[in-house]
Amino acid sequence: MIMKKAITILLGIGSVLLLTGIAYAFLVAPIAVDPNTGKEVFHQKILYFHVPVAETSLVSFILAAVFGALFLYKRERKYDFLSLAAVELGFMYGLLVEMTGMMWDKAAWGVWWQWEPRLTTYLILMLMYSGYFVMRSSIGEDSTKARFGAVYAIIAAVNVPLTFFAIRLIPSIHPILFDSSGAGLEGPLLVAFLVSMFGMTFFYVSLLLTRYQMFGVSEELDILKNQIGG
Amino acid sequence: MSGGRQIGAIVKKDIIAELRTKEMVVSMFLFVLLIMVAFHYGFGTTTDFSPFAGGLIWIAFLFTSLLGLNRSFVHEKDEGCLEGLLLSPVDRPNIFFGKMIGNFIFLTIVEIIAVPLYLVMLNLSIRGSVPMFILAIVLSNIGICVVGTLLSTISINTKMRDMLLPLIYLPISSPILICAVTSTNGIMGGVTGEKFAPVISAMKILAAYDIMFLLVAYALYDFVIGE
Amino acid sequence: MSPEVEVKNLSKVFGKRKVLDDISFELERGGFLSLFGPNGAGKTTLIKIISTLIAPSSGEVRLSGMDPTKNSAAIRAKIGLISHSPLLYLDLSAEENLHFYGAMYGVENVDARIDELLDQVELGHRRYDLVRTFSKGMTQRLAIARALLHKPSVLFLDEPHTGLDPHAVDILESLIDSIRKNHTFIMITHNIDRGISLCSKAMILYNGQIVFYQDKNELDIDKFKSIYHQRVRGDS
Repeated sequence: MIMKKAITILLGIGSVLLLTGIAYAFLVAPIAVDPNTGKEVFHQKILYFHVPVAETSLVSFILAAVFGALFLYKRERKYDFLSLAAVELGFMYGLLVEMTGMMWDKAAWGVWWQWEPRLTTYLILMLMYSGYFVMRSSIGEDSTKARFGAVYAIIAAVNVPLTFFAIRLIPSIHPILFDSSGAGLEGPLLVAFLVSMFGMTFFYVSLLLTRYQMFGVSEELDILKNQIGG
Repeated sequence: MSGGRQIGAIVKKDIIAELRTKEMVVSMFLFVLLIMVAFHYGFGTTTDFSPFAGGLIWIAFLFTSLLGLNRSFVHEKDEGCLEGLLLSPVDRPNIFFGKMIGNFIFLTIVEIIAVPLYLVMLNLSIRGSVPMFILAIVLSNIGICVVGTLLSTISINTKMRDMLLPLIYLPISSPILICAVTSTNGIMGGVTGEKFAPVISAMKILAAYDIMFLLVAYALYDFVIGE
Repeated sequence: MSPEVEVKNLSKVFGKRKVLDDISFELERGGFLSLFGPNGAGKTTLIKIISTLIAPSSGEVRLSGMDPTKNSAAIRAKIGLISHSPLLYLDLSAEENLHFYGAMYGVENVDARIDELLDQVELGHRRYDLVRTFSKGMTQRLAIARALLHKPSVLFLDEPHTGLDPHAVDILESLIDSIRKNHTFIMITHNIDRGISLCSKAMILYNGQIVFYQDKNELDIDKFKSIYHQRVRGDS
């Protein structure tokens, strides 16, 4: 029951912070101006959502690897649940990164897709973790599923920085106008951005715990079914 | 009971079996040739492939290696030989090294024949340093074989068996593809000075990739091949 | 002297299925346990756990005093397995197969040992031939040679009589006889006559539980047969 309370609180705080940050960004903050052209760039505001989502996705994948390692070491089912939940959330967030990234590109460059570093990196990440789900569904035995899942989560996480650096190698035809580091945000804008980040983090943790709880419940259900089935 | 003797025995066994059947090397080689024919027709009237040379070569080798990697473990799974290996006192990582070295040897053999053929038939040349070219290939091969052996052990133990391997192997080997193509293109194009920097970076990333995944494989192979 | 094989309250769960339920028994050095039971009773799982291939879910296992989860390499050096899969490489010759396993087990003077074994299983004349060309009986005889190559002190036999011609059965049994002293055996079999005649202890496993377990000298053969027919042939 502590879990439920914790989830509710995290969800509450997270939503409030996130909405505050985004509301500030869209309603209060002035529209940014492109230093090169002097034109107003409304779509820059997507940064307040896009960046927190991107960073949360990466954190989630790292967590998945950590939980995977814990599973291999301790062999407790709960670590497998946490690892799987973290991969699922990381994947979901990754999709959001792609979608908002594409929206950004459309607004900034007029095309839906470009082979620019972040979109390309996340595309490869999505492909990697799609393999994770296919692999898990292709294994019948629970303990093997957990074991391979853990190993794969670690392999994938190790691959993330390597992919990141490899892609940065390729000279980009279209330089990115506003970098993901949020450079150029000062004062109240920076505060709004950080508020969004925190909000997203709380939100993420509440989702992770919720998903984890769902696994626990479905396990109990299976055990009960088994007992009745005999 | 030295590890070296055991690794050597595994490599020797795979080589003997391959020399007898020639299954892997021949099919890999034919596959590479077929891809080359496809490239020729795919690019229409283009006669100058040099801007894409690296990409062509590595697409071919990456997909070809999938064939070899799959075969390598199928033999162990049949006849229950994998169990025979697991029942012996061999350290699990040594099984990994043995299989990996075997895969590396076969891939290299195919490439030794395929690369000159590619150069001749697609009218390409290496304008840069040949030793660098070879180094780039070797670094990439190591990456392919380390990750490939690790992942093919996983895939062979699932219901989809060898069909799963492309799905998990291709995304995870993306850094290899990117770096191999970048370095090969640069070397074949004979770039110098500032333009050569990406080639060096690519080879550094390849080396880092190889080392990282060797460590990962060493640490995790126990969990992959046994319980 | 402490027993060669000790199993205490061993249980194994696969997902939601309990495959072994609180199994306990002991086998002294030189003993021969014949293990009976219908398919799916957990016999192969039990052997896999003792031979380090699978970890137990709970309980303890000791082989020569060693724990399979901690000293697996040391245990594996002492055990051999003869099962219905030959564990042999088809594209290698008999000699190459044995050389390979010799290297894996660190067998010294491996050439002499191979000569000796090929003689004992009467395959000397086929030593350079590929296993692919062997008959089923010959493959099993080579598998026996493979299992004995490193002179294991504990031998697991998983339905070794399956597919063997009478000649091969004779060879197997005479080999077992010759190393009987100081060697410990666990054999899974459906062959009641052979199983009972060879054993020093008999056990029937059903649904992961021991339903019959007796020393040979106290063996109530009628009780054995009735339980066997009921569980293994009857309602299973």
